[in-house]
Amino acid sequence: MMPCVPRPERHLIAADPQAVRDLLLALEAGTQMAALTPDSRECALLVLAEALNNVVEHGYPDAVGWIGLLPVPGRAGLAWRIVDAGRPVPELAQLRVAMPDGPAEGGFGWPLIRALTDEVRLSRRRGWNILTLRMRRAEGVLPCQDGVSAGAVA
Amino acid sequence: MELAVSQHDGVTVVQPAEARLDARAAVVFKDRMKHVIEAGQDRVVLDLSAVVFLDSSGLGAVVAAMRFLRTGQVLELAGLTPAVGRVFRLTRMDTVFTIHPGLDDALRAAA
Repeated sequence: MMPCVPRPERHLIAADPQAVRDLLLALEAGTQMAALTPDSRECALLVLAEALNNVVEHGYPDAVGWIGLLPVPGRAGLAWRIVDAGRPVPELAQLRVAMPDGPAEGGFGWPLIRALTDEVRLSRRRGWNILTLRMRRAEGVLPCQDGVSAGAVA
Repeated sequence: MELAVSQHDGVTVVQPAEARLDARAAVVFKDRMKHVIEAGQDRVVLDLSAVVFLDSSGLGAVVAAMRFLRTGQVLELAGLTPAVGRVFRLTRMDTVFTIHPGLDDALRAAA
């Protein structure tokens, strides 16, 4: 009998908001994030939501498209790679990382991603955007809860 | 994104029926909030106690709803679950709204 080894989660979805929602629900119930604390899991799912929604909104603004998500070596559930063939993402340095000042209806996505990650890597290869995200652990002082970490990357 | 609306003494209470206020739900939510606010009393309380997931699109829709307020009308929040409250704190939008722990607190509070 084959040993029962969990297969890595790999996902390929249509680039639309319903597919993103369905994927996040699947991740929440999946094995990769099962060992995380609720805080860590919620923060990781929020980061993935923001990154995936960015692809839908900015990568394929007027077109159908696909998004791939796969775990990368590292802490289970906290290290992910997002791949898409949409429009090139601007250089990370050009993306606004400061939270909007005062009431705003947008512009929170990248600041939230940066506040809740230790590492964000972006590359463009063969027409694909490859975004690697390593989440900040939420245990202990709960850095993702108090907003202090938001200042560390500004 | 269905919204349950109820009228109390001087307060219109809005309760999203779905657990996710996300990019999928944001546009419809904002549109329905517009109608609720325009027909609402001077205090409108958005009870988010059933919402367990909020992303930046959902947050933007909540902030956008303030645009529909008439002079003298206020939009307040109640019942933020931990994940939702975290998004408000991280983005500092918790400083933009009056936030009540629960709906009962909101109804007891003076305008």
